[in-house]
Amino acid sequence: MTQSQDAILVERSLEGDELAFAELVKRHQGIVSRRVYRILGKSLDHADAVQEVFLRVYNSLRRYDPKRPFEPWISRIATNYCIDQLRRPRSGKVMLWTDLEEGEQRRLLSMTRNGDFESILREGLERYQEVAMSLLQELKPKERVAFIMREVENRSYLELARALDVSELGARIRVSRARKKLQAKFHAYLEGFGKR
Amino acid sequence: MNNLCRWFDRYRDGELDSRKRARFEYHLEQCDRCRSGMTFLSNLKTVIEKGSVELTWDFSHQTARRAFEQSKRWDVMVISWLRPAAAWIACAAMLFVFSILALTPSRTGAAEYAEYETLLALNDANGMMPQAYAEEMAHSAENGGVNR
Repeated sequence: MTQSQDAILVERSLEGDELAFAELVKRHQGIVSRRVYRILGKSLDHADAVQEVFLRVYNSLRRYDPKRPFEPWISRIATNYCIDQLRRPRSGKVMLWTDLEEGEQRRLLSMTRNGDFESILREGLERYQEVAMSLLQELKPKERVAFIMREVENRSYLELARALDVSELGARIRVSRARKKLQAKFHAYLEGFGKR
Repeated sequence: MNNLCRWFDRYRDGELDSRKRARFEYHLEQCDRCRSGMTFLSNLKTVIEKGSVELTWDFSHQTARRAFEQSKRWDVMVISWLRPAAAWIACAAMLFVFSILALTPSRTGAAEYAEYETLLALNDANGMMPQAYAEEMAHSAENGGVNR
């Protein structure tokens, strides 16, 4: 995907070409969908959330600078949308650690500790996946975004800083805090099991 | 907690030089907390990375249609016209208020004369009113408070 192709599609979209905008969506829906899923988690209205990001993109197209790459720009809009959503009180049911049975909790902890998580995924146990995602709810919105971008997407701290509108040091602090909070939660689960 | 535990983040970010990395890897073998934390984060990353939600095949066309329909709605168009208008009105109002404040003298001659009379009333009894000040105030009051 080249930058100039994106710029051409943006220009045609602004001239009222619906198909050009559809093509732009098609090119970037994967990255936006993954970002939204990783930050907000799985929900019934995932497609609506991704669509909402693209509506924001459409409404902001006039502000896009064609000299700059399109992907970071659209990622930033997606990130801001996710932060806005995380700041709102959520009503959807989320699978929590306590929703698992004791045997499942024991198995999950053992596999996590022994680095055998791949076997869980091979078995396709979505329940575990949802629990793992629910751990992220321990984090503040910007910490959560920073963790996902750094740990999962391997983005540089400079990219994080730009996406979160903070300094590079601020981005480092948020990733570090996120790691510490998640580990603390994990160790608390482990210790809880040790006492049983 | 060992003092090498503080290298956890830098190791994870791949920012340690080879010598420090080797030292930290040796530390990982000894420190159960760092080791389990490292494994946990790697596994969490794997879980999140693998998860995905499929969009429908015509998602892009549906989205484009919705975006174009929305932009043609009369209420959205009115709001888009009003948004810059509201900003201009606010700027004009602020300019007007500041102009009024700048052009209006802070104190009128009448107000200064009232102060002069108050001072006279207060100080005459004590005989403390300096002659020069009294003259200046009287002159100021006559000129409408311009020279103060």
